[in-house]
Amino acid sequence: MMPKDHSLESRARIEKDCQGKSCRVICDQDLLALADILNIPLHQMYLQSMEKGILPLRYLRNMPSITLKEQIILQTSQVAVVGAGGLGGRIIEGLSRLGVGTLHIFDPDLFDETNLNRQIFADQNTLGTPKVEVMQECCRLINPAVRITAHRIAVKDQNQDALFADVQVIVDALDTPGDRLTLAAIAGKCRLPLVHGTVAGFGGRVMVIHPLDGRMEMLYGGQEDACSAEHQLGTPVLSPALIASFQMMAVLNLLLGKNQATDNRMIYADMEKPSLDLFEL
Amino acid sequence: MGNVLFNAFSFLQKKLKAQDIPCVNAVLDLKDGQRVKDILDGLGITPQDIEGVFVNGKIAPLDTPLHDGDRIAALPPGTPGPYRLLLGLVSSPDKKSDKKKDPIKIEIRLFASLAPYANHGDMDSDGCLSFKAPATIRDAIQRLGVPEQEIKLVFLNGVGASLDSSLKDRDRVGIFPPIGGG
Repeated sequence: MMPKDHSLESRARIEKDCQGKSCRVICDQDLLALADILNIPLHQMYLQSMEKGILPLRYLRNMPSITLKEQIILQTSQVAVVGAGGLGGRIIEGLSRLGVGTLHIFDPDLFDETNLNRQIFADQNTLGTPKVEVMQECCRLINPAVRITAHRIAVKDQNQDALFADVQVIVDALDTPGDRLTLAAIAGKCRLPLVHGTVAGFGGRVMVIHPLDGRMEMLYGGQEDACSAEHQLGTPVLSPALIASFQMMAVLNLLLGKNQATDNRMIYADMEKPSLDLFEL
Repeated sequence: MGNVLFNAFSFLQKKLKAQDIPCVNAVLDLKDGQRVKDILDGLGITPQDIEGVFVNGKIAPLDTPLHDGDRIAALPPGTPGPYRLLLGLVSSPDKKSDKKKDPIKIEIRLFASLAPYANHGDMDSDGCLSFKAPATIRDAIQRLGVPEQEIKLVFLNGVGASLDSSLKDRDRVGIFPPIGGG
């Protein structure tokens, strides 16, 4: 029997967070049912619930590192991820689990066998399928509160800035210097922060590039035909998994305006030594 | 007439001390027209005993004429190269101008595909490289054989720098190739 009370409150229950503090939570199943009954878009249903102080159960283990107030900010945020390879796939998956309300994802490629060593969602069944479509489908199952717009295109033209009109942060998960420079120009045009990440061997780098600060040019300017480290060292799964996490942290900091939101330093992590260093560029 | 200051170094010092010949900051009489060889003869040091002589901090021939206040230093044959160089730096403490800088020791880290260049024999086990004369980052990477075209980013003490940046003792250098994987 369907309960007659179609309020969020009637479906909420009390749970304790990991600090033992009581909070009201609600299951995905109830949110899906209510959205359907009340004819409210799913992402709106999640937002309404959180605004009433009722936390979707799926976010309980985020507390208190990500507070209810911060989950609300994330639910109303829009992020673009350009490139859905080793880095991009993990970032798209992670931002979906974190509950970033809207993701715009860009990649023209299909999964192929050389992706199987590192790219999440690359498997026997998805080979030959467009990456962004696979990810849209998989992430819908991971978190139905997240709207994903899949763009099966390359971002190669500075005039593609309209695609980023509604976002607050752009993530650079590309793998060619020229495209990264173009993306930095677009981010500059849109006045948006760009979370750059790249990997080679068992290490990689993360850096937030601010509009027109010229630092992408420092990283890639005049280097179009130089032999890049990843061509000599490869890209085993460890480094994209690590660097994607650092990129997601930078996205969180930018969206929530906390921690090193204004820290421009380049992080370089080497898992082999291991070492982690910060550099000012 | 005047004086010269005489020093012997390394195992020559030991040998002369054993013979009671003054050889550590010894003040010797100088007669007009005397040359380096005359002073050594006067002390009973034969040319076979020495490989090189410094006059006022510079290597000099045995027939160099001497003047009041000159400083003479003698090295025995077979002094190992680095010591020979270091001994050349020794001078009277009251003359600062003659005192050369201490060796510069820097930490240099080569990242990603450049890491194998750190296996160079000149590198210490703790990843440091030493210079006896003023040096730049370019000197450091040339010494390690890193091709300049493989370098994209250069950091000095954690801050972006150029290959022309001068090095001082205890500087930390970081060198990156282009990295673009995703």
